[in-house]
Amino acid sequence: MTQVAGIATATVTSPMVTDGFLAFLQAFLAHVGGLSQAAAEASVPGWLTVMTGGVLVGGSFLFTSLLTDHEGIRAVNGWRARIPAPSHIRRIVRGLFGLGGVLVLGVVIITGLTGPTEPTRNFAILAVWVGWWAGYAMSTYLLGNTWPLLNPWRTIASALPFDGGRSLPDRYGVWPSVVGLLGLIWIEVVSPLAADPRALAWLVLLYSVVTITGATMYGPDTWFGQVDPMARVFELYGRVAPIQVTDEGVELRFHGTALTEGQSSGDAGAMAFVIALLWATTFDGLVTTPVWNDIVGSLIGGFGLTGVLQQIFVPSVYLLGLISGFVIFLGAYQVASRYARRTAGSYLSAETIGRWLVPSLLPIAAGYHIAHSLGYFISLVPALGAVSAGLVGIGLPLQVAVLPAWFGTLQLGFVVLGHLLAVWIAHALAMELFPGILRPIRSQYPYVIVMMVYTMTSAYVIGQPFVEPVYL
Amino acid sequence: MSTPDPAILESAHPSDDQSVEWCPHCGRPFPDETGRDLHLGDVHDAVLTDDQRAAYESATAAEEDTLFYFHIKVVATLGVLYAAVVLLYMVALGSGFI
Repeated sequence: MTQVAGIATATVTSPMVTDGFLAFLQAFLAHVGGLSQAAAEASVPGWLTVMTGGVLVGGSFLFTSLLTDHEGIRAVNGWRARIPAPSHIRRIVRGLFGLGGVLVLGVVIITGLTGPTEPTRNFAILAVWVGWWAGYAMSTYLLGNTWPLLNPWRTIASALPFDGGRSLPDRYGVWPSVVGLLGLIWIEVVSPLAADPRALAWLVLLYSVVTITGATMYGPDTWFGQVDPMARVFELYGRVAPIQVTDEGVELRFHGTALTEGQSSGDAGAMAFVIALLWATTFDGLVTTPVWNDIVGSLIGGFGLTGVLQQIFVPSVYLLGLISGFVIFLGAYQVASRYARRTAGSYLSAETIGRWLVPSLLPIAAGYHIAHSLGYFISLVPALGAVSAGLVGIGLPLQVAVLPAWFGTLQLGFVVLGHLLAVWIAHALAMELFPGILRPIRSQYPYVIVMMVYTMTSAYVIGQPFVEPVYL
Repeated sequence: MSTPDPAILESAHPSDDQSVEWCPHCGRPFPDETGRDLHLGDVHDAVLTDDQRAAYESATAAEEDTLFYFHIKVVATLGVLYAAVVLLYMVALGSGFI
């Protein structure tokens, strides 16, 4: 998610800005809208970029329909190599990760509360947004999910002497985590968390209290499995990753192929969570488009709101937008599932079909995440390094990396890769669910249409000029 | 690789007036015989009777014919799509071809 804008603006308006920082910001701001630049630089008209997105998804589906060898598909997706992981090494790694996670959490809270208020000099801001939400999150789908080991709240809750006897009703499933995810996204977008270390530290503290209390009441497995949204995000991202931890040990596989297994045991809300994750990446980009700002602006104008009323009204509009978009996305997916039942000629319920195929959307979410995060991470990771070194008394110059011009194109490439992987995974999943070859292919028609609309929408959003959310 | 489990079968609901062919091994309903026969070979390959195997093979052969024409259409569409995109980009980028 784009914290870029928040940091950049806050530093510009800060009176403590040094000359070096202004230079950094100019370089940095040039990359804020990295994706829209990629489209602009090639001077391809907007409508053509949008259309290309749709054609790419449709075309890759057509191409995949030529691959019909069940055994071949299974062989590719089932390939794996065992990585030796002796139990004593695993124990050491677990201990180190657990300790490291708790340590970093502590330092984030302390530096957030007492460190410099300038965001790009504050460890808490850099560690959370650059180190964790950009860098670490990328590692969960590019390498493997280490969050269960690193998760400081899990470590703390597990160490506390409470057995967590309560249980959540089954019908809730993972819906609490869907609400949690949408809530976190809303807070992230409407609050100054990206630039205000104090606010960030208080939120982290609040989150810690809620999470540790919850995890001790309901037990860590229930809490981090059904309620905590971050644990679920990383678990799902982790299933895209090549390194998978199974009961038999640690395995290396091709990217995304683990998504073709074990999806039938879906809790209530599991499908909605994936859709929410996908919608979050779109919403993040949507709120920085001129169109969105115009809508919010005209609503404020229409109601003639000022002062406190406006301050309450604007976040409500964002919340309404966030929830409506989620409902529309979920609805579109469910309608597609209902049509898939018809095109595939199947008596399976639409719910079952949708749930079976939904993991194929995860590579797309990962693709958008890396497109948003990689440039941001690379630019600011030297600053994070310098500030971290400063904590232990090593003075390093505060620098940022300047990205080459072609970086925007690379980011678009990741989005495309995510989509291609998704088409492949959906194809493989459909081949397992429906009999023969034609029925699985036909089951994909409605989804392909929905995904073409989605891709074109995203391409449109990406191609829009970047504007600050003005009314917040 | 995962095969559809009982939870999936429970969620299959043909209504009373719909034609239905049941899988004799797992009880999954299908709207037509071909679908059922293909399913038999896909999922229950190890326990097929001779009749079921023959049905599977004829269903597969019939599907292969349909698939052949389907793939011709796919390849043709891909070709047209590719040409259209190249043409559009040439026009849009004004490379002087038109």
